Amino acid sequence: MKKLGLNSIFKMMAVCAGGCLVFAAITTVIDVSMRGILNAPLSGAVEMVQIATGMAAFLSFPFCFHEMEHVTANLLNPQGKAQKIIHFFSSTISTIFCLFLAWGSVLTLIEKLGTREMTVDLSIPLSALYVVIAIATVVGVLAVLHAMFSPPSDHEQSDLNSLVGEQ
Amino acid sequence: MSAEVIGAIAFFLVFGFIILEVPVGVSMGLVGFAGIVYFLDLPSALSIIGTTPWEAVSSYTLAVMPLFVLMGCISTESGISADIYKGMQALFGHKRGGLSYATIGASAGFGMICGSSLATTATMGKLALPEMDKYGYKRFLSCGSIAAGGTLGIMIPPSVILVIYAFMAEQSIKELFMGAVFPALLAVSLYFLAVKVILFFSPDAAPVGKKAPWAQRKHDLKGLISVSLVFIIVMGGLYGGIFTANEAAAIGVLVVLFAGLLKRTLNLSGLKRAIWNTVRIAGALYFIVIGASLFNIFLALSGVPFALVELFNMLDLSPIGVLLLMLVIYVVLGSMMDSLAMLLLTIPMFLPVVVANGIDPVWFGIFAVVVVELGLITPPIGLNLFVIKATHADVRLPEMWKGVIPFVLSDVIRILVLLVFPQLVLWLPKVVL
Repeated sequence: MKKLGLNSIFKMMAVCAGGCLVFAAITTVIDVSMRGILNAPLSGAVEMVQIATGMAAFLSFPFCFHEMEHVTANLLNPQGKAQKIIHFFSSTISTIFCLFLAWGSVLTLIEKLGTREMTVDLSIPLSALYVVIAIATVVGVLAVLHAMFSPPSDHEQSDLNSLVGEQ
Repeated sequence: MSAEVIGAIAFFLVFGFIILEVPVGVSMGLVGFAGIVYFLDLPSALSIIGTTPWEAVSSYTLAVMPLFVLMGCISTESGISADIYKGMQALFGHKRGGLSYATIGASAGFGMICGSSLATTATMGKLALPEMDKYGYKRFLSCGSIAAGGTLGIMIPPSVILVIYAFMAEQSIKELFMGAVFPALLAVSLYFLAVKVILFFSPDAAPVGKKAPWAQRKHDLKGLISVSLVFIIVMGGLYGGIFTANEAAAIGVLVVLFAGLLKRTLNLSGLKRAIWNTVRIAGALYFIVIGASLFNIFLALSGVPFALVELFNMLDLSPIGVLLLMLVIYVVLGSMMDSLAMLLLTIPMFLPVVVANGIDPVWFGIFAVVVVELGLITPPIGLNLFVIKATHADVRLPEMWKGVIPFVLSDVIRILVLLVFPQLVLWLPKVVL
């Protein structure tokens, strides 16, 4: 039950990442159209695209880690016990990095919560953005630990498709 | 400890991690983070790791990357790749080895809408190999053509790797895309020549195809209209100064979406799959960008790039000598590690040397991508070969190694041509921009 819950969180975040990318594309198209037709570009479009793609990047990490989608050399192609050792080593190093990333993000979030820093165009509080980043990086740690002890099945994509289908 | 020693340790640590299958982004990020802790302290390093990743991934320059990936993924789901292949088959299919020419041409066509070599190889592998098997093509020729054609994905604009290079080297995406035009055309011509040479020495490697009736050829050629339209709108808009790179990519997404809907080849589940694949690819690429950004900060703190500039100065090499030395390093690394990782690892170190030697960074970006292309098909590692192997388990690696050798040689010729005639890269951006 717990495993299913974590998987769903990773997938939901990935779905949100997809939504952010679509939003970035739509915003840019609207901006170009408004500029071309009305000679009035969409106000704050550049910042919206920056935030949307940045969010998409962070929100996709947990799923990418869980699914081992990250780019690796695949040079050794180990089998059996060697494969397990390499997988454990790779996951341990990834966990250490993700822990530092989460630690840094949470510290930055705490720092930003005490300030009134806003984005330049849309005046979105930076603390709000860092809440998402901190959550994504902490969930990223869970994802890499989850992947370390339970490599994903081959059917994850179809699982996700069904999840997307339910949206 | 001197900067050279620190740089060497960091480089070998990253390299070791990558060999041990640690994700590339993690390898660069963790070593970079450790290096920052070494030069500053833990609180400063935590502050940097807390802010740098967001600054890197929310860059407007880099936002173009997932949009071009989305464009490529929607195109694949819309069956545009299959249309391109059919169109190319209609053009070349009746010649001896026609399907090899068609595969290379279709890969170039697909490269116009998809900026990834691995995606191009996988797509063309699925389409072309069964077709070539059906007509009795020898596997070494078919696999060689697919693997080599696949490399065109990262050279023909829009190219994801050129976007990442532009971000790392702070160069104009538009200039890089323009600079890639002639080297890409040269690549296609030389690959065609390589097929001709193979058929000269092994005429039985491919049969002469039957000429399809004109009505069918005309129908199949229509498949090239959609890709040409996408390319004209996206790249024409970009080169013509109508759109920025981001806008061109977003418009490209819209155009391929409409093309798929009009052709009735794209449905809702296909669109979801395309978005989903984009998330997977973009997530993986963004993580590498984060790792590379942290590694860059460490390099800047260590002074390794300056030490490297001094080292190259001490060697007293001409600019061509510098480039040849870098080429050797790239070929050695490229035969062992992932091409994108290799580029990201070396660009921060090589770029100051390149600039110090008066070499144009745009030219160097194209040069580096050509070398990366070579690495993608150089045995024994060549990633494109493994992509074919992954999609067609019955293909034997030695067959593929044999098949790619003429294409590897044509890449070497292209590199030499670019070294001798740098104007091939620099002329178009200078004239148009």
